[in-house]
Amino acid sequence: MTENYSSEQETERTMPISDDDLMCRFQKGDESGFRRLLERYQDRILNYIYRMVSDRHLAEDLTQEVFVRVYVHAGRYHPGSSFAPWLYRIASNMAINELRRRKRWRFVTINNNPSESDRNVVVDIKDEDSVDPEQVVQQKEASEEVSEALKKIPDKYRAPLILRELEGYDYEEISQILDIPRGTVKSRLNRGRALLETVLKRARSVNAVAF
Amino acid sequence: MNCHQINENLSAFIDNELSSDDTNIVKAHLIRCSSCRQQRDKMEEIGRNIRYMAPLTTPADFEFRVFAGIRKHEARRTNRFFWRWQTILLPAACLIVGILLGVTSNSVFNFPESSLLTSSESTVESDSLVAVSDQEILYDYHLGRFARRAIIPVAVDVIPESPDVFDSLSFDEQSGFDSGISPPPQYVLDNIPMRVSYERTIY
Repeated sequence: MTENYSSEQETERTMPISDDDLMCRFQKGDESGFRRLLERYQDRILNYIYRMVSDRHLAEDLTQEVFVRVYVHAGRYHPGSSFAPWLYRIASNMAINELRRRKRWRFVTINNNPSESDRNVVVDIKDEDSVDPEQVVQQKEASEEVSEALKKIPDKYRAPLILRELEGYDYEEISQILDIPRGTVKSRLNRGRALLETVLKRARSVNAVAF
Repeated sequence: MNCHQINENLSAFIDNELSSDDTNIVKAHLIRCSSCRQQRDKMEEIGRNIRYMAPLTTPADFEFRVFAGIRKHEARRTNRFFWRWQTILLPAACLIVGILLGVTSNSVFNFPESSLLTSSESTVESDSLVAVSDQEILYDYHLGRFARRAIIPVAVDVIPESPDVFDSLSFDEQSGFDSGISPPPQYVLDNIPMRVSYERTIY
């Protein structure tokens, strides 16, 4: 048994099993397929939802719910189609529904300080040709600025931007995930980037006045 | 294309989502237009900054939490299944019973109140029969149809020696007679008739 498992792991190291195969295995009753998909996508889905809802604890709860839905509604997945867009579609729907719910109820944050968990986020700057530390700090500051600016743009522009820039999906995949035409993806990305630039410009001018 | 049209396509140009013809047009425009070049650089910088945002990682117990959520969901689904059937079957059963009762009510239940009493209770005064207090519908296998069972309070003058009546006697203010207690000795001895009330089940 152990031997079989290790040989399977060895095979996966050399030739990774596709998401679709794992999902098919799970549909046939092999729970290990689901576990591997969970392992592969849990961080990515958490990051995507976090960028949408801007609340770490809520993002964790929603990510958990996304995988519960995948488990429960695995039968709705069509073998042969792409798993990731299907998964991201569930995640998008959950995040957008949550944002709508929050808008309806107008949640008010009592504590303006960022939560402990949000402050303790580990900054993982990718090591690209050993950049100098000053550049790293500048990059980090700029990313934080963008992160704040992202929260200020409407959800319909934020979602495609995150899917494109953070997750690297092409327009066709984004169109499938968000269930909008490809042309709409194109215009929303263009508008989203322009809006983000405007928000950043305003934030910079406010900071300049403050100092 | 003018600058406005180029700006409309700049985002798709950065993402390599333009057709080769449009890509060439945008490239040619960017060579000669510094303003659009600047705009492209800004967009690319924003993209870089988004990609460099600090990533989060799931907590160590995340898989456990997911499976706990799955078990909870499954339990909820099972409960919902039973509840759904209960809410469908119960009203349906009530409806069927209601229809059957409606059909048979004329033949079964419209009997005169006096006929509820047996001949052995002929001593009961007519005004002693009180309105039916409680009733229920039962299926009588002997009769092969639904029948009404009712408990009616009856007031009757009895001779204490009568044995069967005392089984279901209840307190009667007039006689001071209490249920479950044997008649007071003087009543028995003097053979005094008592007005007592009791509940009798009729079909």
